[in-house]
Amino acid sequence: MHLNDSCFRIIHKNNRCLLLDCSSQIFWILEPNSIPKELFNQQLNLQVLEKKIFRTDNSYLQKLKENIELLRKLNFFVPLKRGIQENNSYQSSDITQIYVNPSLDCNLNCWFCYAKDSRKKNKSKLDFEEISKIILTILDYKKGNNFSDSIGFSIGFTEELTLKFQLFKRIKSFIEKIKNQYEFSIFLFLPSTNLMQVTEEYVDFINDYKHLTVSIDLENKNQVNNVVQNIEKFNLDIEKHLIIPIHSKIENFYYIYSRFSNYFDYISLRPVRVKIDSEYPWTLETLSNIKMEISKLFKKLLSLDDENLLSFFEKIGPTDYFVRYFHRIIERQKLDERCIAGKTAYAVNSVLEISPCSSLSDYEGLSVEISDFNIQDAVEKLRKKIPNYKETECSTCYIQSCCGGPCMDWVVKLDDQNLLHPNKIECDFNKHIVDETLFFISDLIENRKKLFDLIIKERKLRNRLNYPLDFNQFSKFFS
Amino acid sequence: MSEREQCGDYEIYLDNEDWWVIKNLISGTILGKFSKKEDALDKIAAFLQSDDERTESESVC
Repeated sequence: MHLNDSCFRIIHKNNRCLLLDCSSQIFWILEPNSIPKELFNQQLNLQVLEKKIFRTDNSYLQKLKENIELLRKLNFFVPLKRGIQENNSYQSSDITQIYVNPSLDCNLNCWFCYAKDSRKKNKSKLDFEEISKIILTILDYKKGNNFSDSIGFSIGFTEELTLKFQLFKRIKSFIEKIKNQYEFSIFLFLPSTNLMQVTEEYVDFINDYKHLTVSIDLENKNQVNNVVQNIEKFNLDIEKHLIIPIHSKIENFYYIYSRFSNYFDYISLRPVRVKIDSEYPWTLETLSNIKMEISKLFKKLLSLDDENLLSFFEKIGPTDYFVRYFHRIIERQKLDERCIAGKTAYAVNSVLEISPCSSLSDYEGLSVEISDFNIQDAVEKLRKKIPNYKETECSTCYIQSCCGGPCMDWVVKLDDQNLLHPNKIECDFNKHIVDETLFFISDLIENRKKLFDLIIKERKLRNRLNYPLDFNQFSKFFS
Repeated sequence: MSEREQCGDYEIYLDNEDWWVIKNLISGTILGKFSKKEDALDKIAAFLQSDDERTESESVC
């Protein structure tokens, strides 16, 4: 290995210091007072790291240098490989997820809505015949190409499900009827609802379905009241999941998590990409606010007693943005792509255009008209528009394995012209979460190991951090 | 190092026939036997770095 190929990051915060090997995603706790300040929060390769600690009288650094050399001789350090896959590999790939958005009808106007702009100019709707034709065309495309992976259909991401529930039920019956004609599995996912109004029919359906996902706009007091009242109409035994979109001016994350925990089994907070002219834009100013709030959340979590921290983790939902970084760091996951949008997942809007995801339906640069229900042709045209992320600056980023690379939607929403470059505000946001999570996890391992093991067990995680976090202790094994 | 130590999910020890053995403590399987301790340690370093099982694809944005 060339010494320049390695990638380390010394992360320093509140007089605590971590050394992260970006390739293995193994991190160690360092003695902060012994580390030269110039190395703090810097990305280094092995050559620079060794050089910086080469001439020193500090015994801790001497030992550190010896141990780094020891591990280097054992070929422990490997080059940082880019985890993001080349988009070309999807040129003739399967379709595994389709979002069909038949209309933009909604009884709310939330700040985070994907369809906010489209709704003003587009009144088109897809009827049952058109939707069923899209579904059949996609299934036949898969069958014709001998693709065997399962496919999931999600209907109505840009509309309120309860307003069109009859249509959803009809599509469900249609899929049930045709699914046996195909050798691959076909799923229909129930979209989230804003729970503004619920009919008896919907309640009965959900009580039978056993799962309910609600999306809530915290800024809308009327909706919050409706959700709290209407949630009581469902049986106690159904799994209730609340998704809370968060914006850049949000305050007090912990309170938000706690607030609905009596009503829902799981709560997922998710930052939402919005345009710069939004009420809650992602700017350098608002970024510093949200970073501060994230730091406050982790500080609060560490101040909780074992029982409360465990119950926090019991309530945190599967699509929560923060907990996924927690999982990825513990399992040392290497994400080889950010998401499957535009690769094996697509969205179809109400004017029969295909785009990588529902949020990008309104973006001309990343959508293609489906002519004569020719899905294959439209998908091939769309794939040519999607940027190839193989050679972006992500290839040297220390959180690349946790993050997976750029999100086209962040880039488009924040008005960046070059789709190839990740949006810097999003990058900074994600790096801050990773840094805070690393310190949070190291604190739990160091000081509350039993609780940490319990959280891992509860969340069914594969712990790949069960090595000595002290670097010199770790190296001792190899000496 | 003593004759039986653990790092991560891996244990290394000297068996009765003087082989350095690497065992995966999670699966309980023996991953290799080496005549030289250095070779066994080198292998464990490679196991810890290996990304074979760690690669994931995100499906939800």
